[in-house]
Amino acid sequence: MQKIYGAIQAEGAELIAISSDTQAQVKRTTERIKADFPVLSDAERKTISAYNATDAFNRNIARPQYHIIDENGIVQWKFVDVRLAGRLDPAKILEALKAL
Amino acid sequence: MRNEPIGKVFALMLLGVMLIVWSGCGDSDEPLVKAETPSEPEELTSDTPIPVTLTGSLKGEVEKIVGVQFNIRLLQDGTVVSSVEADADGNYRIDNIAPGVYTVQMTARGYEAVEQTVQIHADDVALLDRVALKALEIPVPHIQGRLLNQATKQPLDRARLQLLDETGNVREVLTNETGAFEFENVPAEQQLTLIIDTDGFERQELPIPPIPAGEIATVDVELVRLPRFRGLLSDHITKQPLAGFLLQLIDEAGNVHEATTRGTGLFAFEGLPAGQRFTLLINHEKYEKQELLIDPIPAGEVAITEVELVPLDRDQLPVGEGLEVGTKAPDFRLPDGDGKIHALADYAGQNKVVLVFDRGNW
Repeated sequence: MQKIYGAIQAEGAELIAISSDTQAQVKRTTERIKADFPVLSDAERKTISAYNATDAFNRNIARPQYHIIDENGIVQWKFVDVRLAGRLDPAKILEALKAL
Repeated sequence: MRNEPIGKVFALMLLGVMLIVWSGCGDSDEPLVKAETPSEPEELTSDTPIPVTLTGSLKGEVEKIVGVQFNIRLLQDGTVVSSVEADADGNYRIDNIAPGVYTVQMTARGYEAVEQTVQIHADDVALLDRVALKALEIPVPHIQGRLLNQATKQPLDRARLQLLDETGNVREVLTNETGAFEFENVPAEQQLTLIIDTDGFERQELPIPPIPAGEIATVDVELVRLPRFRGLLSDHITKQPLAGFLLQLIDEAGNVHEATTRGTGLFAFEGLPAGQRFTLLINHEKYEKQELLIDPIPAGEVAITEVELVPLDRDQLPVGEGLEVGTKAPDFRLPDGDGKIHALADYAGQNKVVLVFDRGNW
């Protein structure tokens, strides 16, 4: 995601990542992947739940998914990854962002 | 004793107005602890109907003796339930008495107490016969004092005090609206113990050194209020207050304290044990179960928190399917690795947001 962060910003958007990791785990992840975008801790999984992003098989974690929210706070695009290990090609996110 | 009808008497409850400023709340689930202040309201606003209870009254007269103040106490099963002072002419009246059988005790400093049994009926005023108190032959000591809330210095009205003497006899009185209390005609030259155990305050047991006959000991007491825990319960998605929800607060000894949210979503636990950790448990069929650890609350202080519950049937989509396109994205306030809080609202009206959920593998 870090690779497309600049392109996302160029489209007038901000990238925010959320996981169920603790703040300490998030800090380690942020340093490991050298993320310039905010990686947030939702250890209590309130936001994950509010976005209906709870993993159906393990309720302690988030299911990989992507939302594009417009300036008015409305969800304009989403993608839910059904794969356990694979991830969406970040280019698809840019494509969706440009199409909005 | 005679009874005369009167109009319906309703128990009236004076309800204070809750005014809490939630400043500083919402960033975390950590309760905010604050000291009690004189201006702090004592009660939450209730929006539930006040139950109407039919009650009765009694009135009577003690033969006037110039310069003597008569205290009238109403007891049920040995416990004082109400007390008043007779007026300058010796007349007294007690209202809002639940129907039942009572003992009326009439007493004054230096005079023998007289007791009468009375039956109270709803909608009636029981009239007691006029009595004359007889002077005691030997002088005896008395105890008087005031009971205040230590933090606010406000008087504690209708607080129950007990006086234990060396023979094991217990006398009981209530404070009046100025917090004043009086034990008349106590045993002379005896070690006495004053026990104050009133709801919501720390129990006090004070030794009273022997008092010489004919003297008056003044004992003013300030009580420390037991910890309180208050908060607001709301729906995480709609932010609407949740009314009628049962909350359980479990202390270290395993005791369960319960409170139910009002229509405003506010809840209040009073008279909690000091210096103990608690677990706040909220288990509702339509919401995710919440279990929060609450740090010890010092005596005299009130902890305030906000709790949001995540609904289980938030939308029609299967679990994990995300939000539907076109719906309003819920706001969030979450910390990054350095503890800095980020909110979706920070970008409102300025930027689109690409929001990615993952398992920590970016």
